[in-house]
Amino acid sequence: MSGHAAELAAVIVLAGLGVAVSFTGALGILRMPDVYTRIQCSSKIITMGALPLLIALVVAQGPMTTYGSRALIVAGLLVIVNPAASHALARAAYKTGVPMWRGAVADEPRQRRNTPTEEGKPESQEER
Amino acid sequence: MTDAADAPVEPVASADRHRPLIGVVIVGAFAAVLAIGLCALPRERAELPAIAREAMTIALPQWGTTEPVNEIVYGSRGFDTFGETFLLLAAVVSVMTLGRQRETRNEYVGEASAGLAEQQRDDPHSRTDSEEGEARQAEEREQDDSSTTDQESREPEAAPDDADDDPLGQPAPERAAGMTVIVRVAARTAAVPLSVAAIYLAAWGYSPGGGFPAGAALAGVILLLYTALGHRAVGKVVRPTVLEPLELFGAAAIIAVGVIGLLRRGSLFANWVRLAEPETIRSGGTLQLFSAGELIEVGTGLTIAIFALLGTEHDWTPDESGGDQSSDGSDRSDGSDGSDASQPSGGHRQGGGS
Repeated sequence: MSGHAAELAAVIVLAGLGVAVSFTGALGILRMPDVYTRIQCSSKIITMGALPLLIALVVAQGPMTTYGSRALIVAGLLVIVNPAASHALARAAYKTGVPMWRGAVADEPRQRRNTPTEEGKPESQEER
Repeated sequence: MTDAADAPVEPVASADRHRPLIGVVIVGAFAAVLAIGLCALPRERAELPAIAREAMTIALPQWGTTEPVNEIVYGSRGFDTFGETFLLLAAVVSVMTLGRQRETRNEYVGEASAGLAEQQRDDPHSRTDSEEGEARQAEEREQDDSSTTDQESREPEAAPDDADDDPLGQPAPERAAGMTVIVRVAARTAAVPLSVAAIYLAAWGYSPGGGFPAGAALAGVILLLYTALGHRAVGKVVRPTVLEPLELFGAAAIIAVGVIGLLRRGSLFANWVRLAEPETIRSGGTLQLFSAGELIEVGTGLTIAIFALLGTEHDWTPDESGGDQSSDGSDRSDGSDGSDASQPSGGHRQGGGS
């Protein structure tokens, strides 16, 4: 009985955490000033929002059940694919010149491009 | 480094008043649709519709499957699925017809750059001293004299294999075929479980799934690999000579399953295979054959349609008609009235047709 109650409490806590983080992420997408900070919020919804919900499903149903096993597979795929998707989005945005927020304090690729030896040329191998 | 001298324009200057309003309307409408849908759900003890009861009754004895949905889709309403499948085939054929190229191609995208790379590898000096290179350069000079005469900048070079060779600081466009190592590793890793899941959806026919979603998932995997690794990685498989016969084979298999049922059992898509043990891969009789044909048909059909659309952007000879039209049109519309400006487009149409 107490084990069941503990399991239920864990499920509620995990699901609550997931929903709360998803809410802050959605709020961040609305409130953040530019694409790069919004991408940071959207990737947080997946890693800290969807994963606790899926883990809650695994805890509630058991890992080797019909729902639990699929939740584990989906969680694994999300962990692999989501950072790559955010990376590709941010890189594409930077390459196509999507502007940063006026208050941004660092633009490392631009600094690396401007500071090295020759003025117009990007740095080649030595700084990587 | 924080000075705003060369900082770009801030994208969102002010909080618009209409944004919360639109948000409230959209969220409210979505909530209303959700509430209506929830209220319209049948109660737990509600009576099933007649077709569902029929499917529940005959699924196990007649078809040997424990999944009534698959019995409906590929069994008792197989003709409906047949119609949907050949509607998809018709759509794929129309996409291919509308998006076809002037010259026959072996691949959907990237063949021009691939040929260029191969040519450079086989014959590095061909571009500089061959007759063709000079003719092309002369043609380009003829088309726009205004551009710079720097030959090195205009010399086309093969795009790099992946984006790692294309540092972030350089301006767009990204010409690399593949994306960065992060995306490539993630896509390679994710493609394996995703394709296993797609095959599983079709193979385990006694549980929810079926050939249609499985084919769509497979097309998604191919698209994922194309996006991450570039056209060179999928070019061996994603080419018309492979996909088009495969798709027609899937369609022919579906027709064969139906017609054999008609000949041997008296109705289209009736089961004509000896039933296997329930809850095995082979259970379900011809449902599994139909589902497998559907997997091939949908997977290849969606891939063909997507890549035919992607390939329409990559013109074989972009400098021929496109550049002609823009330079002529801009020249003449500057100096004269509208009737004159409409002439170059007519001339361009003639040139493109010949």
